[in-house]
Amino acid sequence: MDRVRQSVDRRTSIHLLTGFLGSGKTSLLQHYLRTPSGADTAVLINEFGEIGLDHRLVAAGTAGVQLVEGGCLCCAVSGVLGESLRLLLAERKRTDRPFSDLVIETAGLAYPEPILNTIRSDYALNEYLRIGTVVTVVDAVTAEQSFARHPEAVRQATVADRIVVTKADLVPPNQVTRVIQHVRSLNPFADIVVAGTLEFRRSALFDAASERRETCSSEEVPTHRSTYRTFALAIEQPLDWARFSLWLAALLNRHGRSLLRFKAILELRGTSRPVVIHGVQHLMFPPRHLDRLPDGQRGSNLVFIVDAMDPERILRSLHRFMEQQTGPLAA
Amino acid sequence: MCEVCAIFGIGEHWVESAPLVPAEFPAIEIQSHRVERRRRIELLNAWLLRTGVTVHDWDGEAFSVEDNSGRRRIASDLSTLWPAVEALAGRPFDPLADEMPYGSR
Repeated sequence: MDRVRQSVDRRTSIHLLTGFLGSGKTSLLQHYLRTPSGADTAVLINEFGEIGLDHRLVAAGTAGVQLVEGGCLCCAVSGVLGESLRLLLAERKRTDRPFSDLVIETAGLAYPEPILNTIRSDYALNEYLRIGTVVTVVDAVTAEQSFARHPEAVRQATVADRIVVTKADLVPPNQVTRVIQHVRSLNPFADIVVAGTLEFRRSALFDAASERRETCSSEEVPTHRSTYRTFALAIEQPLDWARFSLWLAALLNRHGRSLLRFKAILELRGTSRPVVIHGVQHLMFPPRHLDRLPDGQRGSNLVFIVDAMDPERILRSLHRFMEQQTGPLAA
Repeated sequence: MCEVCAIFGIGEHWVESAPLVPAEFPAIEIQSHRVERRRRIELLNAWLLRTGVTVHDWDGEAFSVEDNSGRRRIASDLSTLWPAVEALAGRPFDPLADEMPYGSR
């Protein structure tokens, strides 16, 4: 089915807007909804608290705004989120209020991964919805403190396709630079833009992330939290997909919660077209083919963002499971 | 899973959801997925040789995981396969453990 979807995918894109408390998610969303791109966008807002306010702040005239109150989506996720999405889809059919895109604004204290997982693992929702872009809002004023004290803020940054740094005008330029470096260390895959600058276009908030995601850095990036690590493995020899997929599935089964983010461009045996795979914890997205390897890359390149996992053990394990294919691997 | 996929034995799991080879005709792609699926099961059984657990294809649709005493579990895809293997083997299959895969030494 996914192969059919890849050629003619008419499912509605569901984007995630996340970010820590007070980072400016709702303001960004308001601005986006006023642009032509946001005109046909439905919105699902989740607030942590009994009385929701944010849905009143979102611009009227959007294709539909629903509020999920009284708890956090990631904690009660499968029931409440699934039900809310089904209601939105049913209402679209019943009232003829079409929407082309859907945005979920998460609570500031939400972990984003369970929300993504719920959408991906619900077969009924998958018929109508596909995961679009994950946008994380990072407040330049409080980012350093939030990352140091709140694991939710770190996890929100690690899963992002695009990170928008807000309130840059309230801090000195060197602090903005520091925040960007910090964010880059947490997530080498994401587009990073600063709100209010020329390169930031409101209407493009949920556009697919740029091609830089198709490259994997082979340098180890120091992260600020002591248990988080980002590292890359390079393997020159083409990989055997059967072996690799079994190994990765076993790794996700045992260590999915610690594997915060994973992305790889793989050169596989038996095909000239490299494959891009990426995942968030237990959740893997459908692989895609590239026409050729990015310039300068030879063989496979795998990048991991992990929590309390030893890169050496992962490398040794990969060697053990792959070495039977023809012999020792180069790394 | 759509009917066509069910018939031809290609699943929704990420492992089976991308074309493996550039193919002009769906039949070639389906064939390559079935070959890969067969190879994966052969590899699994080699790795699990010392556990008394074996894995069989269930009509290209799922995996049948069995042990020497005849207990059986059906796993819909690779995500549920490993927990089923571990349940019947009575021990975890941690790929980071030095003795893994079981069949390598």
